[in-house]
Amino acid sequence: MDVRMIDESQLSVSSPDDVAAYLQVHGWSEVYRDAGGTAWAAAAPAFEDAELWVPRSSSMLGYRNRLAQLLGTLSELEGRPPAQILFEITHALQDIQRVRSEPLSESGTIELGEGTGALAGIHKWVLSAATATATGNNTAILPSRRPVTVDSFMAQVKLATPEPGSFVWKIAVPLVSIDGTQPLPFADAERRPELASFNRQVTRALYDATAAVLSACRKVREGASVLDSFQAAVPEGVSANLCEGLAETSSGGRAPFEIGFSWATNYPAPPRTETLRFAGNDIEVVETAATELRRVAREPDVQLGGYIVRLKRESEQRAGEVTIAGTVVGDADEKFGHFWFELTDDDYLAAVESHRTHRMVTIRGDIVRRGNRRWLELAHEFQVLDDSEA
Amino acid sequence: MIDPVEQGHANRKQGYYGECVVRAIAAAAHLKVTKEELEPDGVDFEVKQDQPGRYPRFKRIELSVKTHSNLSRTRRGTLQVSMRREAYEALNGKVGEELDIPRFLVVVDSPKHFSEYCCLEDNKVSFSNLAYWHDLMGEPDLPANQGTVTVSVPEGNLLTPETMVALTCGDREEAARWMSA
Repeated sequence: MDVRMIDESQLSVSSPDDVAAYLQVHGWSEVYRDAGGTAWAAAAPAFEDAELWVPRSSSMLGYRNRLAQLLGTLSELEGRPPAQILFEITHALQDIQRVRSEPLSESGTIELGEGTGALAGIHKWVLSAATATATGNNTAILPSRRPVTVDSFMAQVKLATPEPGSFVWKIAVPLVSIDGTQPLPFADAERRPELASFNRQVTRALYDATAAVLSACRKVREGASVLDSFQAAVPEGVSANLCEGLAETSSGGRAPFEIGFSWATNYPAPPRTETLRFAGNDIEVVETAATELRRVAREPDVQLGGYIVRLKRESEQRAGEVTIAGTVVGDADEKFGHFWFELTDDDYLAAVESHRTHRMVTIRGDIVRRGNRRWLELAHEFQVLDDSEA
Repeated sequence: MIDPVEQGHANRKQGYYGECVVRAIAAAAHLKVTKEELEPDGVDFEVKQDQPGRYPRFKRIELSVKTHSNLSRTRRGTLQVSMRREAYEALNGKVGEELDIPRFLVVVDSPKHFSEYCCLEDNKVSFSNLAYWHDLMGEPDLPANQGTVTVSVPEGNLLTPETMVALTCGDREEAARWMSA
């Protein structure tokens, strides 16, 4: 225990309500109250000798010392650094995901390149859960076009100061709804779970889907095929996007990592909260699963934008085959590629004209893989853009 | 003329001794004393009464200890103690407003020279000093430009093991039971 490791300025921003909420969630009960504050005791036998004192107001003299005392006691009882407990108290109304990666560099550092990659992976990981939650569908490949609620959610997600201990990234998700409405106290939310905010739905989906990925990895270790195991987990929220995010999080692809979830105190915590550990061989499986899911899955209702590079029609009575070189509109990665699709009649003629005049086109449909090619099925809304729109 | 550095050392040693006297009284009352590494402004330590099975299990007070070897006494039976503004303001709040637990001033009246602090008398060791407690909670704030204040501590407020328990638990009868248990 080393209370001096605490950022003292954080002590005074932690309100007694935050502390009380933390204690309540961690099995402590208020046993005494007077004008100065409240005393708390825990039912757990290991804590039976302890009693914690919480001043009534953070403006009281000596408040920071009192909180440092409390953190020292909690640190000894819980076997965790006081700074970590304080972080949870000051972020009592936020869900926290701790991604502890184990890079080869010394504890508390990470190679810049690896760190950048890991962070991009974490972003993709969170984004995938938000997109799946917002669309309400669990699909192997998530749509490139994201509902606006996803962007609003991602704008609220914060990266907190990393902690040493290998290298610990901390993601904080505030539990407020998209319109900024404050959540109800957790006692009410417990009775009315439908009031749980979108943000908690996302973090819960993040946990469930990531746990399902680990479970699929176990099945693969037991001899099941990668594709079968991961396709079976799609209804639990597993997607190629989520797997890609997890694979990238692993600092270059091979460094093991673990993810711990702590839950805001104003909503009831999910029943399962164990730390999810990805060993090096798990990450290889996850990487393969991402590729396999993309290979066989249909990517529904995407819009492509690009230039026509190939045209082929054997007769005017049949549809013509068109190849476009471009990107999926709205895809954060903007991966360039070639896509095949068929056009009939006027649309085909318009495609020919756009190729002659070298104008950009857009088209909507479902992407599927056939061999090494990506085909756009159910193609519709073919448009040749004016120069001003391109 | 006394070397100010030497005087500073002497004052610190005297202050340390005064705190030890108060600790000894607390120990004699079966109370626990905690000194925080980063003590709150104006507080020297916390005294705690630990009684398992009761809520709250711990009743606590904070003490500010001032040690003097040249206290002046009035005919009305009070000790005149000069305090800096900050020290006074650390003690004159009210529980429930500025304070979460009670705070008291303790004044230790010590001999001038350390060789007289503790003497052998017959078959026992005697501490040649007395300590007094004083409650400033709820006393008025000082005018804006006043840097020091003199407080009158009644000589009757002797700090004994029993009075220290009474201050800690806030009840003389409970203190009597505690001391006779």
